[in-house]
Amino acid sequence: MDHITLSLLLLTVLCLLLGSGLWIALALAGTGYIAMLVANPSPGLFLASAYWESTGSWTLAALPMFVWMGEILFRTKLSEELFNGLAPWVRRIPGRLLHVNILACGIFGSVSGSSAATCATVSRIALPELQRRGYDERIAIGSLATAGTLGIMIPPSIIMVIYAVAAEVSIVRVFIAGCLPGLLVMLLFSGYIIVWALLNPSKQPPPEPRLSFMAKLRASSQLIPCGLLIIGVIGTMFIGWATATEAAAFGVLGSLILAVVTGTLTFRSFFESLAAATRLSCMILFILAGAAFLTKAMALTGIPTALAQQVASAGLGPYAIIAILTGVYVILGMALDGVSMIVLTTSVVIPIVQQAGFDLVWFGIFIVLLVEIAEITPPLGFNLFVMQTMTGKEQTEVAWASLPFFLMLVLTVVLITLFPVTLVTGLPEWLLAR
Amino acid sequence: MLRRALDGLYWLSAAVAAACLFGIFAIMMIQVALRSMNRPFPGADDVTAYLCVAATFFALAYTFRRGELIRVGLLIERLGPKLRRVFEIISLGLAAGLTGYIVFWTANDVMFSYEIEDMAQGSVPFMLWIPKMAMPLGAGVLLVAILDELVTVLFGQKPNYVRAAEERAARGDFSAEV
Repeated sequence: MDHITLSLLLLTVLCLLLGSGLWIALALAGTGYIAMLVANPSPGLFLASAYWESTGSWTLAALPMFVWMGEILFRTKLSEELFNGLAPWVRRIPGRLLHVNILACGIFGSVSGSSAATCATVSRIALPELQRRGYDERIAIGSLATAGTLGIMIPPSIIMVIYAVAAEVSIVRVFIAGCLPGLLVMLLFSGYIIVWALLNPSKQPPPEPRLSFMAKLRASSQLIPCGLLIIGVIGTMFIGWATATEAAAFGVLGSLILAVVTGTLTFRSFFESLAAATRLSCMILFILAGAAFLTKAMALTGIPTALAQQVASAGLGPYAIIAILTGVYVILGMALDGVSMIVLTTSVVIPIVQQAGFDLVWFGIFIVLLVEIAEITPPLGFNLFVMQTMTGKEQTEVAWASLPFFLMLVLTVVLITLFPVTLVTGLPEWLLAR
Repeated sequence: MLRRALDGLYWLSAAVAAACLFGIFAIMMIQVALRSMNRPFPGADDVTAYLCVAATFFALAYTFRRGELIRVGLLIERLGPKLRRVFEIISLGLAAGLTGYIVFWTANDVMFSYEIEDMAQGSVPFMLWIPKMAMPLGAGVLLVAILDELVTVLFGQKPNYVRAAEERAARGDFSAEV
């Protein structure tokens, strides 16, 4: 069987299995089994080693730790503290408290690695507060749904850990590379809010009384524990004191201490966070295991290298390749979650990207941005689901509200493609070279 | 009686997984503490990796039953109850077959490691068949859970993973997504 027929066959099998509702991890393993059959009469021999190697690695232990850290913080009063601590500072900027959505999501994103958690945590406090003060509901919903995706862009990030492991690049490098694009996304979101607020003065709520500088500082003192946690986790990683795995374990410790200090740690919340982290890590790692088996099978069939050569010989420019990949990922993102999107495609896409001369760290950031976009694309966008249940609105309504912010994310994809070194790969090079 | 025994099995398996996840944290903290005293912690990296495997596999059945192993619901959630049931049976049947295959080959791998006395390459020569046992055992409990749900669906009832997922969505609980 030639490569094209086989690729089409495998693609069909995968789509059928996924579409029929088979659990993703098993659908990947099943497709891997069929791919492997072509190359080897006994696929099972490879299965055990793929499962063992992909779930058992010291580097990957960062993942359950970051997941647990997020689960602990999810059960604290962190989001309230963020809202109250940030709100005094943005009252004079057009759009006022709407900027708290962006800032709080960005800060929560730097202690949490998950978008749905970031979106849910910040919205739980911000949405009722904004509604009470008479802010426009549509832009509040749109900004929260989209800014929530910063959870996976600003380190630590579960999606980045998965990408780094799949593409065999340094986790810390990808984390650092995500900082500037993350800030850029925040700037673009806030910029849009400012422009919107200036164009729609009628939709602004009445201004609130002024606060003295000292009162502002007092309100912001609530942010100190969270700030220390961020410095402790990200800081130690970035200056090379701790590996990602160690930093993640420190993050768990720091979050537990933060929960104790703020009086939100109970036996119940501790065990709930541990159980939730176990289930979420289990789901992710089982998908990784299935994907590892599929990747092994794909390598044996020789499809990825053949495909990479074909793409290279087609003479497409790098921008054309990125444009095509963007399209493919947006379509994938309509039906798949972020983890599956990444593990499913890396085996095929990485050789193509490398051949086209792209940096793999840069590509990681690109892919994370596309996962962010996928999370607010109907019909399957987790952040849309979060906002749907929080507001009781239809998905289409939430999706339309998110559209302007969606465009800002697309703009970020364009910008990081045009300025890869300045925005993405420059910072990790500079920091890690010292 | 059987119902309680099965639920107990899934719960116990998940408790082992949670203990392993906590173990990863504990080992790292001990390692850091020892390092600050300039003392090595031999084999810590390997044990962390083994705990990671165990945390994954032992949690499978419980996670599956709670509907937190993700699937693409785009199509099947739009089907009528009758057709939906047919699809659930096909999915569960396929899942049972694949999980059985995983159990068989990972068990085979454990036996092989046992026979050739496969050792870890790190500073401590762990016998690899012991940590590898987590794969067939955990996947075995998952197989039981899948068959359990298959019987439920064949008897015309709604599977537990669908019910649990619907309850979570109604509560606005999104802790199961990244």
